Amino acid sequence: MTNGVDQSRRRLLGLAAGTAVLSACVKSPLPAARVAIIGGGFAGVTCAKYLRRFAPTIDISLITPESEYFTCPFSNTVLAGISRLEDLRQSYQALRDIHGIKVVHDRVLAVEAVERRLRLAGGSTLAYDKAVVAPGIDFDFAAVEGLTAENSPRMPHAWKAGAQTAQLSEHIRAMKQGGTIAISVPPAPFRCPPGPYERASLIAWYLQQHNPGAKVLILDGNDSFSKQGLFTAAWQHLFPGMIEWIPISQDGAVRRVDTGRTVLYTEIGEHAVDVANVIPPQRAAALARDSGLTDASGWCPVDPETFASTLADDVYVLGDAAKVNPMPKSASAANSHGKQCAIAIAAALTGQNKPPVSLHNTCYSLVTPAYGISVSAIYRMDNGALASVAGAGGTSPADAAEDFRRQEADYARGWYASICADSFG
Amino acid sequence: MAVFSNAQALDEATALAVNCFTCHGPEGTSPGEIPSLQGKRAAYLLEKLRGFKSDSLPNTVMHRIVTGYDNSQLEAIAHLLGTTP
Repeated sequence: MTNGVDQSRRRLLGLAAGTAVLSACVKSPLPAARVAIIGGGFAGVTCAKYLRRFAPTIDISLITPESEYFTCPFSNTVLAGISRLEDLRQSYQALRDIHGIKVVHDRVLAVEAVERRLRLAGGSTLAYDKAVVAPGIDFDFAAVEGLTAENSPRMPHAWKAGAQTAQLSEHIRAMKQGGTIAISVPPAPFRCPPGPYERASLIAWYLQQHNPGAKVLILDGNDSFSKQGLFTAAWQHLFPGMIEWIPISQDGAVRRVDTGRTVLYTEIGEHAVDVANVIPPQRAAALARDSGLTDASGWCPVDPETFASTLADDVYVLGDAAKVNPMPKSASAANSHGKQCAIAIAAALTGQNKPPVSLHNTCYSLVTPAYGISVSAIYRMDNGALASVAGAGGTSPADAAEDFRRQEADYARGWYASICADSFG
Repeated sequence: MAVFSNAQALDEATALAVNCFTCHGPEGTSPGEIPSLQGKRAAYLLEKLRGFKSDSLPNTVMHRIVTGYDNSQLEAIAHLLGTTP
């Protein structure tokens, strides 16, 4: 590992400092350090963009199979008809054209950490000095009996924005009058902890206008949820009798599905519904598992000070795939990971001291387009472990007035515009 | 903006200040409903941050965020992001 860092540092300094001093005595400058970033979501693109700022001369590649990206944040507004799928689309153009990142559209099969290279599906390999792995999540379809990747569109998870967002949206619109939509929530940890409950809210808001008498049933693999007090108070106030929540302790966890008849089976119960949104249990994406970056939990352990993998040298893991307790798996957290990891890598490559890691998470949820709620936390190292700063953060007040909720709904839209610009712009 | 005009400064102020851009937009330039930080004087930003911390200024989320930082950190953030008079 030490050799790797030294070599990387020489590469960087060879180009960065070479002009003044070394050019006189070194005929051909050493190539710049190479950082390969895997994954085109919020964590990967933010890391790429900020790394360019902190280390202007290094060689940065971002590898993602997709030519464009649809954000999970705000995808619930598509289900409610507030925005179109198109509105969620992000491109890699700014990364490539403004920030000088090499964007490679290929699939990484494995990170070969010992050889410090990536194996790509296209058949080639890509050598690196530092690899950043931000591949996001995979669904464990097999954890729900009867559910497969192939039949999942019949009960769309819509938990990666794109085709399934459109499918679930169509199912909701086509539902018979007075029907029931079930949302099956997997056991934690999963991407976007408040997401299922924001989804229930916005679907109820849509149904209230277009399908009065219809209901939303939340079948939960957990006994509590993010912003629970705020959500349940809002539901009673805005959608009385429309949303029913069944926690795991009351037989809410879905164990088996019949995608043909749209039936969800719990331990002892069964729920025949009209539309099913089954969000499967989650784990780090296959790439992370295949590259030996996961532990028994199915997620990637990292040193939160730098995001360096604790299982492989010169590899960093960010975003939803990483285990960065107590941070939630969110776009806001991923954006924060990307920046702090960029600082850590730039410091390592240039031999500078790294400032202490400073992480944050601020997530908004819309209950309706005019009713927003938020949760926030600040994180720093405390006795060798990441901790949220005591006394800071927390959720919106329980007793806020209507204009406070309206302002937070405006800020939710502002947050979305800002984080997309900060990460992809 | 100051933070990136000396882009390679890997100091604590930078590590703290980049957090602001998630909600306030790249380099503090907000494209939407959240107030922009760009072009604000350092003294003005610090006055706001202190006001949020003491909860003497009206706010939704800023009190919850700002209480996560000590006074010297808030000064460093304001100094880095703000313009000098």
